[in-house]
Amino acid sequence: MKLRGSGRRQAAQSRESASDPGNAGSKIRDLHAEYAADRTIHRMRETKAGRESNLEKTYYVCKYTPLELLTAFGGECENLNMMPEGFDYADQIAHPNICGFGKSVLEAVLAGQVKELVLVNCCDTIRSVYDLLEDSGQLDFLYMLDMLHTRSAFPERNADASLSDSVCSRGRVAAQLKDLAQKYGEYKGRKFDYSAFRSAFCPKERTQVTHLAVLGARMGDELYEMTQKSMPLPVVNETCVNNRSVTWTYPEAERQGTGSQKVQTHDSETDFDFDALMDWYAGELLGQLPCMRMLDTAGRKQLYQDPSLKGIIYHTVKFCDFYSFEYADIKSHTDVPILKIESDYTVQSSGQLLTRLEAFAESLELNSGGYDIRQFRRIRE
Amino acid sequence: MQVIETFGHYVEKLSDTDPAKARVLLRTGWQAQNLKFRAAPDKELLPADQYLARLMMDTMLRPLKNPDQSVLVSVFTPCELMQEVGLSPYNVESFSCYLSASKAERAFLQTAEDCGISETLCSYHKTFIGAAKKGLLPAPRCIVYTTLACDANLLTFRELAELYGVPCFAIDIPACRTRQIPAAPASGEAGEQVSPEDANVAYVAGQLRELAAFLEEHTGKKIREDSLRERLARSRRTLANYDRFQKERVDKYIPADLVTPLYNGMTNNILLGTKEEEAYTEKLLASLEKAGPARGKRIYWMHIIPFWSNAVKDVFRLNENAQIVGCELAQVANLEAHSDDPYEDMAMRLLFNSLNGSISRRIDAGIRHAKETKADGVIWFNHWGCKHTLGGSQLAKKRFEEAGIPTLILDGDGCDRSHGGEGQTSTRLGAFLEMLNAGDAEM
Repeated sequence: MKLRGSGRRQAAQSRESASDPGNAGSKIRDLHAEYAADRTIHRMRETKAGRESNLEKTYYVCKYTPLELLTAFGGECENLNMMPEGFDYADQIAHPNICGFGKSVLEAVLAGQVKELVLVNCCDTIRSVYDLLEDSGQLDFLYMLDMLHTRSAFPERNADASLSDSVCSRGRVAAQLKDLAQKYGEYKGRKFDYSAFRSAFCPKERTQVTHLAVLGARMGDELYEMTQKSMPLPVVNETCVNNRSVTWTYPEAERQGTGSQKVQTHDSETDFDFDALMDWYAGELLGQLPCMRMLDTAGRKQLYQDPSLKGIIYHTVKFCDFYSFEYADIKSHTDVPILKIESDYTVQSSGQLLTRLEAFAESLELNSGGYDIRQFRRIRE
Repeated sequence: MQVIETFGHYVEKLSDTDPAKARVLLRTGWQAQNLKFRAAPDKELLPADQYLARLMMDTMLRPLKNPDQSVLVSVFTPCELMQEVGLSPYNVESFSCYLSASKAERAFLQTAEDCGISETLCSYHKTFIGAAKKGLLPAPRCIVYTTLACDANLLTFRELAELYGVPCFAIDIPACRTRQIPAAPASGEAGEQVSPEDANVAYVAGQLRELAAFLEEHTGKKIREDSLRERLARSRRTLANYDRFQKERVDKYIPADLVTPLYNGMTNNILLGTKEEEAYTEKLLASLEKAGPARGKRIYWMHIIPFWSNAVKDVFRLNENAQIVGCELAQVANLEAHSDDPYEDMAMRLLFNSLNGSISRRIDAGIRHAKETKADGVIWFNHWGCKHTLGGSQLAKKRFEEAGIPTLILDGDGCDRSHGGEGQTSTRLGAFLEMLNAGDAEM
């Protein structure tokens, strides 16, 4: 505990000295110390009880995961986003040249930290991770959702609803959701709970305050914390699962449908049309702000065409190719300062990035122009 | 060899200053090579494979001569519909291969990376993007690609559609979740339960019907279903011929270089449905009668072949002691799946492609094909940038060896020489063949 307190004090001192621009080297060393202290706290919190309760969670990695459906069967969902120290376990079963996030998932499972995992076929690496984990037999529940790459194969025709479900991507995804519902329900020994499903929807509101954003490939929790601490403005994580936006808009009138498959709810005796609900839900999942693995990514422009956005930290992961294309596009279409950083999803690589983050933070302060960074710094502290 | 290096250097250099001239130079060089294929073919190869080299070069030259009559495609795109409207395939992977063979890939890889594209992207895709951005490779009439097998398709074709400003059509392929292939889709009569795979066939067939309309709109030509059906029948005959050739070559020695199995991987996909490709497979079957008895070690190759590598050439090029007897990419279609409806037939070829879905489907197909050719060993080539191949490599080695087939995992790059590691490749291949030969001695 003494060490922890000492680390905190050092960190507080570093904040005070941070206002001195001539003391940049010392400031970076202090932030390293603060970061190391936080890691110590994080490890101490990992008690036996904590580890056991984590094993009861259902982990996920993608915003297209049907969290509300899993919750309706009693699942407690958590984003699997830890950055390991290294890939000792993962390197035993996977090639080193796959994306570091994929290896971090393997590492967490093989280290015994995860027992339930729902994946989405986000990319070739995650498909491989599924193959390897299925073969390992280490998980109590493992499922991969085959999410298609478009809301509709033919958006111009989908508007007039002239396509049958079999031709529409929404229909294919709805079929997957029903398959997952059956398997997860059997695994949990629970029935679908309509009210739990409905209550699980948490719409995301976009911030209107002046801020910086992390864009690009998903960023590990540890690196995001470090990024927040080193920046002079609030930092919003807009990567991957963090910009999930599934909203409850299901018309109640359709609850009593005429679908072929009716399911009894857990909390009432009321029948409702599960097929129609899943069809609607599939459309909501597919209709989110797209990630780069979708065919039409035009909607992503809102992430960087935001007047309250004052800077971008663009993150890529080594051996993930999707986001380098977006970076190549953004860097020539935005007026805000942009920093590109790449991690391999280990804690070690994050530490090495701190110097670059600090340099970017200083350049923002020097070029703050029309807004007062000092005011935001005071609010945050 | 010096001639090719000089040629590649001039293509790269001219691309910086005058891309139109660079294109003319590239086309002239490839035409000269095509003349050589005709006037002085490699006599050590089968006549069928000499024909194949010419066929492939003709296919490469068409988009350079008449880009407006070509369609940019990914390797597994079903091209029968495009053939029906008179468009030639303009294949990203093949062009990058040929640029690499012309020793002109480095500058284009660098151009792509300088634009911010990840150095870990597949070098086939990166080379093409770089060459397109430099203005060396011309704009096609349109772009058609699938999401099958490779993430890079999603990125590359979207980028190229924007760069060229041409219409683009993507075929979204759901994953195949079963290891067993249904013989035909269900009839879909009222009240009958439609399996997920049947619904996926309908989903993809629906997209292919839309593709037909897209092609008609952009070419002004009509696609006749009877003609398409006939073309699909030719595709099936071609694949069946090739399958028969692979099975019947088990006791024969078929001289092989490194590019012929790669050509098979290309033409058995992008030229399926053409009379020329069917003629090639007929020539292959005819050549079996004259082939001598099998000799040397027989290797089945998974994924692409680094044709440029001297280390691999030294071991396998026209060598009676060790030959490549098959390449996975030439045998991705599942012949058991078939429908009389041409659109469903193409959909089934895409869905039940051995690279679609879990790695187990791909490994199962590899084991089956390796055993059919009585392969002594398998090489699983970890092409830099191919995450699915890399990710499944250790699992593949385990499964192949459980099936009694010694397997070597070889890291490298099919297109980018800078990821080569020639010394290590040579050592590992040598050790693998020694191990296979030692197995004979013990028996």
